[in-house]
Amino acid sequence: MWFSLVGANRLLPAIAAWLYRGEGSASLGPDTCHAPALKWAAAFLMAGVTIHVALGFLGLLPLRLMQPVSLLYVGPFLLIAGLTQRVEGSPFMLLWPVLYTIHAGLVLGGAPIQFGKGYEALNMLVPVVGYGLLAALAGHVYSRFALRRLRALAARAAHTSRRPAGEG
Amino acid sequence: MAELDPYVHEPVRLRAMMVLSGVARADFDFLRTTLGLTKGNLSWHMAKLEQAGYVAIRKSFRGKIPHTEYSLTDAGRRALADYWAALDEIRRLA
Repeated sequence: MWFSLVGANRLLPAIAAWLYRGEGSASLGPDTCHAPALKWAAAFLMAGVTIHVALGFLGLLPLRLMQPVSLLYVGPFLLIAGLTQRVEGSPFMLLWPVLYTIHAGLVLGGAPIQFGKGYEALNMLVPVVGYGLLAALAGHVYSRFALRRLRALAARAAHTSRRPAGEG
Repeated sequence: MAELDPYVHEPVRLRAMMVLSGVARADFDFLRTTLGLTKGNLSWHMAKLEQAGYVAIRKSFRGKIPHTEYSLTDAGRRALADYWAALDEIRRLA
């Protein structure tokens, strides 16, 4: 919960700024302000968590279904956060809700991917944090690749413009 | 015979325009590290591109640190496209 709310707004940009310090920044899209959409999504997430926790305490929700049910509010939040922050962040962050959805589908399908008795809390924590880290890692690797390509392309452009006529 | 735009034909400026053509905007440090230039060199060439109307500059502050961002203008995009077309035409004639 804290990671989703604080992380999406402050922690992740701060980590990115530290990680890519001295490298500068470039944006792929125009400036857009999606703050209201993100606030509504955060409010929706908080409402979802509250209802979810209440249902859990009342014993109305089997532990096995905790992660799939959480998809109802975590999924839209991650999707909106990913879409609204894609200019500053990486489009790869959209992998986060996709992987979370696949995980929920596998749990509902009976796949043996849940932690056993005593570790039930990890059934929520690991998919939320784990898939987030995985998506961030994919974005990081791609950004390194894209930057290398961009540098090579820019260098080649200068070379091409200076190539004597007749070389092809 | 096609004429090459002298503002674009300079290698550093061409590389800067190539980079900017692939993004909406890029800041000073991004261009400097991507192109491997010194601050003074980059400033000089970006001022030239701004003078030609090919690049728009946006200055702001990140905390107390000045932050400069560059983006290619429509005229800049046209100039880059025309430059490649002119280069192709010259090659065909050779």
